[in-house]
Amino acid sequence: MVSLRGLSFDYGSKTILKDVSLELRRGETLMITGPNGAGKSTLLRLLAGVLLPTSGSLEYDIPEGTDPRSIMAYLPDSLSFYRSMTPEEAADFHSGLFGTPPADMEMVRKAGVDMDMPISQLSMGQRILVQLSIELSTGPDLILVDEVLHAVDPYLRGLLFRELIGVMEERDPTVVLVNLNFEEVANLVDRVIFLGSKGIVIDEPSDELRSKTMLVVAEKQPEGLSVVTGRRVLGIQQWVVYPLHGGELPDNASPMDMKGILGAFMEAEYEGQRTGTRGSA
Amino acid sequence: MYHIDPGSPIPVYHQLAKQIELHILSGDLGDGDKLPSIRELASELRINPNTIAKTYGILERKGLVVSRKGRGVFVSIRGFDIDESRHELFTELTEEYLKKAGRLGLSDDDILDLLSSRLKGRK
Repeated sequence: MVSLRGLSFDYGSKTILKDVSLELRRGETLMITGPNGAGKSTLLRLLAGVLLPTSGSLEYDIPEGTDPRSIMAYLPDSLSFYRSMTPEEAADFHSGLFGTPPADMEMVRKAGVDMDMPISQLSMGQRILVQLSIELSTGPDLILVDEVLHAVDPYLRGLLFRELIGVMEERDPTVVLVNLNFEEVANLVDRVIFLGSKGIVIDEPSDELRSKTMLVVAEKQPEGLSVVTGRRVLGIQQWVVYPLHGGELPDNASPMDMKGILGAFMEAEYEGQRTGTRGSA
Repeated sequence: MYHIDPGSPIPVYHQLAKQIELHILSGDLGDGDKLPSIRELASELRINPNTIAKTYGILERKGLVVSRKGRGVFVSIRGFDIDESRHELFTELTEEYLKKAGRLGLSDDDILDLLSSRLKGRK
């Protein structure tokens, strides 16, 4: 769906992204996660075409002459979406732009949004809901959602995911979620990308990531295995091991959930920054 | 009704297929019952719709369900050897139980004693 080759982005003299190459396939749902400042939102803005790369290229697999923005739904982390319009005016305006039928706003009504109020007067969660409904109504093949869901209460978040899953089922689009709440999307994403301060640390199908990462209890660092991070928890020395190769299973190893796995990589990132070395072996 | 264990290394589609199979083998889901649509189940469990499709595919290949175009997925166990599947499932559960008992350091005699006393207690 999108090919990124050697993508770099500098902001002034600061390098935000360096030499990122990725292949986003049709129909896959990805989570991009990683520590603050690693460039997750920047990567999403580059995908959305809101920013242009300093070097490298992005190629969309769409018919010649199509504007990439017409096939995507983009939910940025800063919402400046049709602020002065009411939700329905915005839906009409948006459908006029793209020549698609206006969003039915069923979810928005269900959420009790005041349809006569300008969008700028709505709560953060409601604004996100309105924007997502409208963005999804154009039948996108590429859906980009930045880390905005933390501002939405659990009930509205449920509605939002319902809407997203409906579109996923109907159109099989490529979905990219920038997310820090791993548990919430763990079963929704089939590929996980962890963006660290020095670039991509993990790029794995979720099932693979789960089967290749183990928690090992041992006093000494396990030999011959690649350790992400080591820590003492309640007096017990633990090691997070990744990647394990074909059938390798160390003694005292137990599987971890997505939250635990990504938490360990996060820990390793910050450890690495402190000691000036990378956490992984 | 269905629960996905987030810490399990077993892929979600296998976990789910196993649970639906259990519902069918235990009779909770009867012959001809309609399974939830992919969209419904995906939304309810917040699981990727492709994962649900994979789950239903596994059940279909096993001969436990049929999918009828445009109408949905239905339990279909006619011509299916349900006793054999029950036996298979029970064997799996037993293996798991024995593994756990082994980890607790129980001997074969301990296990047999405990089982027979529990079985007597049920009568």
